[in-house]
Amino acid sequence: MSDTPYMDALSKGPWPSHTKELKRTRYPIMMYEEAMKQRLTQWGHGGMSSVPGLGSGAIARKSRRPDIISHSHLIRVLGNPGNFYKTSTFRKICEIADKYGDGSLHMLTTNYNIEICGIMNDDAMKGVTQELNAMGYDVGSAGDAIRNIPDCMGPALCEYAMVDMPRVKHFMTKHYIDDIQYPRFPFKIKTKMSGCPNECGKALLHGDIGIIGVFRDLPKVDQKRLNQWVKKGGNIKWVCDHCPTDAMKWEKNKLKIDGNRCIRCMYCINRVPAIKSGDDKGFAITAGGKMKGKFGPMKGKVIFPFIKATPPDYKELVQAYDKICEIYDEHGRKKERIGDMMQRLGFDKFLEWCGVEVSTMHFSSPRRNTFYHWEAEELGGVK
Amino acid sequence: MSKVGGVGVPRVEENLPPVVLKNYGKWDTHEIVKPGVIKRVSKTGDVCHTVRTAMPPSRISVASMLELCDLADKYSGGYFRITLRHSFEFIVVVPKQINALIKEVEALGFPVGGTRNSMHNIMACPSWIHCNLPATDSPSIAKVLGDALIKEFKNHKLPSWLKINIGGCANIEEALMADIGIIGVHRDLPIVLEDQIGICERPTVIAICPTAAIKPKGEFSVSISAERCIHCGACTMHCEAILTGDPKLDGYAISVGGKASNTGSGPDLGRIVIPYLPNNPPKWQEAVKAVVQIMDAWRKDAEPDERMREWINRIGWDRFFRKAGIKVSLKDIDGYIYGNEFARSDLRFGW
Repeated sequence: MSDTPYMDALSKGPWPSHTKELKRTRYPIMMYEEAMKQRLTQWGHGGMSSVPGLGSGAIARKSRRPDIISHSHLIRVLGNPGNFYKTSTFRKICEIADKYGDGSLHMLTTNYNIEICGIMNDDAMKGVTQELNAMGYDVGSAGDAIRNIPDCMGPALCEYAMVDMPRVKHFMTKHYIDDIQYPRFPFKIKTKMSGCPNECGKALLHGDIGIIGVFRDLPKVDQKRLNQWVKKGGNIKWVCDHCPTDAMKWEKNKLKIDGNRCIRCMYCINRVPAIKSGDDKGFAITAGGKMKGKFGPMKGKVIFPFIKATPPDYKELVQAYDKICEIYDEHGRKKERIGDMMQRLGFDKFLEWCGVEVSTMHFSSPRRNTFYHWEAEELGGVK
Repeated sequence: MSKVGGVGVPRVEENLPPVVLKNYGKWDTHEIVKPGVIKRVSKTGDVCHTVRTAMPPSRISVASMLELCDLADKYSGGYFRITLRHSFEFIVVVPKQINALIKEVEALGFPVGGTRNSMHNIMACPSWIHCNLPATDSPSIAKVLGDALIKEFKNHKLPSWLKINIGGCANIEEALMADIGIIGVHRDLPIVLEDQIGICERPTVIAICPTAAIKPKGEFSVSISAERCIHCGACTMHCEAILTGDPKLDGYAISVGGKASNTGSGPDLGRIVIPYLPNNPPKWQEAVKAVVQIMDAWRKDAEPDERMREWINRIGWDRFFRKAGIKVSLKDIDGYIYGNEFARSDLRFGW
């Protein structure tokens, strides 16, 4: 009789098994086995712990079962732009994980870090950080800081990408590395980036600040290529029928896209290779997406509907990002996410502080109450 | 902002295969050759085949990662990518070698699939492996769901793609963003450890509670009102001396219809349709049954290329509950802060 019946049961089957993986490492498997047996986690409180010489990057974790293991920390390695890896460098990360940790990795976390798990002491944390730094990688993304800034693969492999997200990620991480490594905000700021409105990066839903590639002009149609595609069996009629705003018309072997109806949702671009996004591309910035927090799950809200920003300094993007961070830093209460802060203070106020020119792009519908706040100047001095 | 320094991340160019770097920004179309294999064609005529595999939920051993690295060296020139759904992708595989690669990687225990109209890789947090907050164990649920739905992972027979995310507690952001999400729920009243509560910042703990259930007690301690507590876990996250979790009461809820893409009806978070199912390791039969039930209803009724949310929007929630065979209870009515928005204010019933 094995002493880990639960883990054994989960080791079988065609899907890759985490218990099989854990058994290949030095992870204290009895912690997991006991948790399943008791149906209660055996780990104790954790928290952001600092790597010696660094603000954040490590997550400390105590154990409720000192008879098995006293504690186990982990370090977050910032993921590569586009999450592309080379085996030669990745082997070194594996080596480091094996040398200092228990030989298990978390590939990847919800914020697209690589976690090196099972680090037991400060020296090991320092060792991991130094070795990673030497090979051009960095740690961070824990505590009340800007977290890792994940991106999609962008133009590296994807034909839809509006903006060069892997390079933006490289720039943003370099630019905000201090805020990623030294927590100074009321609570975490999760930033997500997607290259196009298809939103593989879930920036709007997921990100306290979301950066999304968008385009303004109409999708471009290559009529000749489209006709070839139709001849080969492409069902353009079906695509026209499923356009969410009925903006497409296929008449006399010509496709017309109605500019008054198109909402740039990417549907036709995803389905038909002859339709490409327009040329007027830029960034949209959203804020306030989150899951937990005081007021429950929230979708992000559009703050800057369209920003043009160009390398090398992405000036406008950084200005917008800084603005949101500043407002959060100033007005956010302790342990309050950006979305909750907006809810508490009012979205109109947030927009005002951001200094954006309010447009119809900022709401899905205008308000339905008349409970305005009027400033004295607006009243012409009358009180 | 003063600059202290830090290394940052490597440039993207350092980790790209030569073909990908050459065609950076020049990709034109892609097609799915077969489940798990994507062929990308560039404007220059270059072609890039990628092969996608599932990954074990949450944790992977260095030994397995090295084995995958060996395969990447052998078949994809030493380059790979982790997708945004945590799948492992070999990039630039020679078309002739694809079958050999699939054979080898599947022999290692990593099934190939998860593209287009299939179930994509399942995302899960560490939960009981390495966390103090979870109400349920997401990796093992992910594992049993993967075993049950492996067929859907390896073929394209679903109406559209199916994404399943699992979070062990309300803190995990992924679950509500998937077509089917599983979220751990606590039902017990948090316990205050009176002898240790002094180490927590009392104002923070009181302010963090969304329903003002936490009140000061005595000089240092706090009390939690059972009437007001909504089991969100905010206090346990920020204070070491408040514990939550009860083996008899913990469980998970199931949500449907999360969607990030702007196509169709636009991005939206999922909605919770099953408020509570009990923890039952290691088989988690309730979770598998509920997910299969919802998936089958969707598969039977949806039009081609219709995501879960689009399907629900078309048929309405009345018919969704009926078709999925889910019982409605008072727990489905949102009584929280935005709850009134979700109440029905029209007479367009789906009898």
